[in-house]
Amino acid sequence: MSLSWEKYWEIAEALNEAHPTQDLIHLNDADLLKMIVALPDFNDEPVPPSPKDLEAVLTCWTELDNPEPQEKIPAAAM
Amino acid sequence: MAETKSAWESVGGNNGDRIGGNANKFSYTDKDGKTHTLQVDCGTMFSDKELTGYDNFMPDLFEADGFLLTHCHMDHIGGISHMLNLRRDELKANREAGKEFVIHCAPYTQKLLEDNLALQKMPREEWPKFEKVEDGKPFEVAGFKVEPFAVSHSAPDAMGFVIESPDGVRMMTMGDFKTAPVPLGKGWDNKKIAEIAKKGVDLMFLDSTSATQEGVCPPEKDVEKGIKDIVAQSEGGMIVSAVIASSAHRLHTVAMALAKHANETGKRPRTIILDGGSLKRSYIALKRCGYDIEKQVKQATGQDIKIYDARAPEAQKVPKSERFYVCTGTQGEELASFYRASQGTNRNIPMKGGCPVFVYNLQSCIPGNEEQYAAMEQGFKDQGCTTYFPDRYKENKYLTHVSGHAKAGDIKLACDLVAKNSPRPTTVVPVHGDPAQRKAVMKIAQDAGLKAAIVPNFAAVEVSKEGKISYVQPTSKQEVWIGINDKNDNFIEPDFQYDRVTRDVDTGRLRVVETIPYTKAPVEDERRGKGKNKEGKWNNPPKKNKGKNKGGRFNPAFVKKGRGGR
Ligand SMILES: [Zn+2]
Repeated sequence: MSLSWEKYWEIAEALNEAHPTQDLIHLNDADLLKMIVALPDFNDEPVPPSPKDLEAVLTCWTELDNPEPQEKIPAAAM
Repeated sequence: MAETKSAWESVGGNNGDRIGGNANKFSYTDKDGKTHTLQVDCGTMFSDKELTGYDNFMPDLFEADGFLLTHCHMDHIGGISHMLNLRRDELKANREAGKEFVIHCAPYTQKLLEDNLALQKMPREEWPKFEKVEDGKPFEVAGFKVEPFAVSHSAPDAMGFVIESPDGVRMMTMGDFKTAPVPLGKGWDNKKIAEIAKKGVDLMFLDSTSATQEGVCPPEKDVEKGIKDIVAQSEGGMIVSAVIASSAHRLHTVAMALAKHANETGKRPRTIILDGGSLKRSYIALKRCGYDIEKQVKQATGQDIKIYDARAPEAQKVPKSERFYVCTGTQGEELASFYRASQGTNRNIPMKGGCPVFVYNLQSCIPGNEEQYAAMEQGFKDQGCTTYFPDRYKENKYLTHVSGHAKAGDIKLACDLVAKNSPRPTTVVPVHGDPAQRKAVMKIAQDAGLKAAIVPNFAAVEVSKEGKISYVQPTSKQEVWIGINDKNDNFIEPDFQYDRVTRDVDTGRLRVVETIPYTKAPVEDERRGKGKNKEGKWNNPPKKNKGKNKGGRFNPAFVKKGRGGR
């Protein structure tokens, strides 16, 4: 599948497959961008329309690695 | 010419039985009779799907000319993504006409909301535009002057607002707050509150959640000792712990405790290893918002604390006896990191291998979760771990959690500051609490010499230009909410149905009024205009992965039924 910037979830899936042990919490935008552009299916501009697109990819990647339902903690405990 | 008036209405959050679904409507009606509206917060309220048929409820939609958020907790922001779904066509038309949907909030709140939108696969062009809110920097929106001020809460960047109408009526909402200092960012400041009060406060809305509890809510710093004791108790072993991911100050507290323990013992500090998506996102959000825990701890203690992602090879290189895992899933949520560790199925946390394992749940059991909480502890015990799972009903050995909500002493402090400094009479309206908690706030406010009124959902408080207060009671005992039902029961690929429902305030009985039609988000190829060819066939069929990730990093059991939508 051809990956473009709108497909941030699919990009995250491809990254998770390509880099299964990547540390996600210290991954900077420049390195993340390099990884995305290097994906074999990536077929879009080398710069995202907004830095928020990169952040969205990383957000989805953290979830894909460890999907879990939303915490149901009552307000009183927070 | 009509009389002008300023008003506030709770359109969610002042429920009879539970806290959640917080939303406030501030309005100003001008001399031509036109009403300008400002919405503050749009939260979700959990629901037991087996009982109600809904995963969550959110406040009903209303026209607002401006939008503010106090902080990042889901009972304050969880409804936004659903609101964007329900208003998709209208917002698209607005965008095309050059009118963006703008939300004013602090950076950490923005980041957590953006994460939520990304996880919901909200198309990027549909995300709101954000205006940064900063402590002490006033701005104007929808004809109101807004004066934001930092408050202390369990999440960083929590804000209160003074909302001043064109008549000069000043309405002060604290959001969720306590008065003790917080480690990350700015928090409650008596001097600042006094300064704000000096300009006059007509209405003050106070978080009532913990108002029936005596004393002052302890500072986050108090948890450091509990964590230090835990570390001292676990000499030579690997520590596995769990925290509430949305209480992001806690990460700083853990780091400080490890550093101080190292200073006191002369030993190398343990390394923090994070496991669980929501926890990692909290950490990433902190960094993006300029909160550098490692740097802060180094400056305060001289110690270099390392924080690693559990999936990274660096984490596996740390000697087991120097690891301090921090996981998600304090309540035994089946797919979360902590539960999987308890079953020995979390590949990021090796439970076997000779090193003793000490397991600490830093959060006590939430009523209703007793079974899975106990089962999780048993799972760890079965693997030979030493466990400490605090019981909220007993005197606990270690203080491992403090809440972010004002107790009676905090409420009294807020009331005293305003009573002493406001040159005009102030009426306190308790919010964010059950009736007993709101009543407790009313009493504290009255004891401080302020007026106070209990106002239920959908009642309004109106303030005339001269400052005269009047109350408009709800016309019906049927509250209106939106029930959110994920028809797929799959939080990765949800299919939301939204029902407008009424809820009887006396009996809690729900009645479906209508299923609200809405346009679903376009799939990506359609958004680029390259989805279907002239014959209506897909050029490049959109991927239907049915929630399965071909990367195979996780257990596909997550698609099982009965899971709530996000
Ligand atoms: Zn909160």
